[in-house]
Amino acid sequence: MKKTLLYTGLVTAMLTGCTTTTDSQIRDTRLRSDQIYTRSTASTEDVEAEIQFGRELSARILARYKLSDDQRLQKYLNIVGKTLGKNSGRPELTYYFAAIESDDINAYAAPGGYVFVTTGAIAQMNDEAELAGVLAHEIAHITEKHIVKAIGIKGSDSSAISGFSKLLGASNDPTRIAFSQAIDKALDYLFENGLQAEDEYQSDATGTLIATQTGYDPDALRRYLSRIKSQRKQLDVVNKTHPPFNKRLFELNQLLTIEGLTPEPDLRFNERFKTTMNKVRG
Amino acid sequence: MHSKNKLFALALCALSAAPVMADDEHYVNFLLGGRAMGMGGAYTAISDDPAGMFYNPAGIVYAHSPNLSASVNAFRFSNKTFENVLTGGNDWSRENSALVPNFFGVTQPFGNFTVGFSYAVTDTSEEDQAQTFSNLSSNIERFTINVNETNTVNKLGPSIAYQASDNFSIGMTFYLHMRDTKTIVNQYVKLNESLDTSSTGQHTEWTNSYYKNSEYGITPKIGVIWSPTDKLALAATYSQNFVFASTGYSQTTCLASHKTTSSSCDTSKVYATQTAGETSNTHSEDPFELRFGTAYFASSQLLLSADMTFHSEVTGKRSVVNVAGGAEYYIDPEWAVRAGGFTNFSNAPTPTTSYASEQIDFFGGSLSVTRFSKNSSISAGTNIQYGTGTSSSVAAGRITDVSALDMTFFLSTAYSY
Repeated sequence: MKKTLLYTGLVTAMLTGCTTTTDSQIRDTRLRSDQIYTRSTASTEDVEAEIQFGRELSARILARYKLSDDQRLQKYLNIVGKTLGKNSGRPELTYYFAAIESDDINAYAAPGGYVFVTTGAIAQMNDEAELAGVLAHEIAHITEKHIVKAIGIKGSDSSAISGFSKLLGASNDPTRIAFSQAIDKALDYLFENGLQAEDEYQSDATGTLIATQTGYDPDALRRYLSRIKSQRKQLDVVNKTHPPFNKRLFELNQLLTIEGLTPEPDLRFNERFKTTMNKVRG
Repeated sequence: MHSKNKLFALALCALSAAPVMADDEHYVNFLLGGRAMGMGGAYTAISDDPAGMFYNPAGIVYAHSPNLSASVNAFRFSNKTFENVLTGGNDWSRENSALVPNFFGVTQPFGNFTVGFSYAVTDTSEEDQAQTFSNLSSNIERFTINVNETNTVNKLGPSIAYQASDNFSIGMTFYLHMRDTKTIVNQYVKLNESLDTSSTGQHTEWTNSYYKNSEYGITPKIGVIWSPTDKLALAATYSQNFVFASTGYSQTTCLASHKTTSSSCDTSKVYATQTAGETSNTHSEDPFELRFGTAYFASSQLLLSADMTFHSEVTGKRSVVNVAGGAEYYIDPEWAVRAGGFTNFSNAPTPTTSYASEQIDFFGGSLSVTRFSKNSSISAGTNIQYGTGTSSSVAAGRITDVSALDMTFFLSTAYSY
């Protein structure tokens, strides 16, 4: 009887109590060098597939939203964004940034380096650091390949929706259908159901680190999220595709604490931002 | 005539014992799985590829890729020498070399579950002997012996594993078990003609015996892995083989130029005899197996593991504890080397002059190198084990020293997509 109780207790402890080590920690530790290397590198075919897929997805985004015709704003976004892109860790990509006309507060990233931010989101920004924070969050979605992984975009194997790099020249219908379905799925991630909450937290964290490394206020993205959280009318729009603000802010605060990052008012560049915005709005 | 019979009996005593089941006395005759083979079989707490379905099905929840297949083929060479079996210090030597399949498996995750299917050749051994001895003594002019023994164990079946919590998983494999054994012995004895004082030409004897057996059953395995920290994994696996049916056939044919009553050939009344018959449910009892393993994931370059395996005592077989240790080191992301050591102790009772048995304890080592490319890897390596012991199975009434060398060269591929 005592033995039975002991065994029962041991199994129960294993199943419930002894969970100080997380599954992701265990899986990460089990990864061998070749697996880490494979995950960190992409073949030329994979990158080409990612870019072509992103280009097609961008066209679909622009079919939904009008591209802002303000060239000053577009130029400004690209100066800030491309500077951030240099610290993204994916030198094989060329980043493109565009403002799209919408009162909604949102931003979108398509694989391959394409980033869109709504004019409504820009209107809520107080300084260049906040703009950098939002753009860096979208860049992080690209560097972490969230859509690429969610859909399974590859250029060099035979799975159903891969081989996109060869797609444009392909004439077979099944491949085109698979491609079209993959695009629809990506649009669903962007506009309807969103990516996984973990992906958003990771992009907040990675984006903050990219912006900080580029020389912006580490607290910028957190400030921006705090501000738009208070705008109740926008909550439905953002919450539809993102996890709750409170949770995102909690995760960001934890990151800032762990990394020892503090607000840097001198790195907000609000004068430069306002000057540019005045010209835009003027 | 009576003295002639004694000489035949002396020469033939080597085969008077019952046919030896080709290595039923060891449990680590053939390591499985490319990565595990390189690490000396110390794989119970790793088990994160299809080979895990054999070592510990709980481990397949940690397979790093949604789909993964692995296959192994091996070239096996073995040599066994029985010392001073015949008068005059003549040794018996049995050899074998064969290219054999080893393992194939696939896994596929579904949420917290991972399922898989594998085919494993858990044992494959063959012993060949073809020797002729001349002038063994002043009485025996020629003695020829040919022996062929084979033993193959195939297992195939599904596996399922469940990740019960962040650091605990449980899994089960349900193998169908098939075992085939066969022994063929041919021997020819010719006495020195000078002994044939009656000039009747009665001085030869030929014996052929054939024995085969097939058994069918199931081998369920259940395993668990617990990771108290991210770097350390502790694991255990329990399995047992249940044989439901077996069929066999044996046949002995003797042809002698005289009437004899040697123990292997009763031609006391006629010069030629043949006996044959079918058998059923003649399989030996199988023990349960309990594996304990630990693995330390020191870094992404270095992995250390150790296993201890216990097989219980059953009728005719002693309990056995074997140990294994292994290491994996990545020189760079494209190349890894693995090495290990293991024991393969005999379950046979101690041979005595009145009890036919063969007891050889092996010590083995393994080494392999793997080249990785994007979605695949190829490994080449070797397992070598050497053992010494004693046997009373080949020379009835006498105990002889035995030494054995077993070398396996393997090539394995793994592919994930």
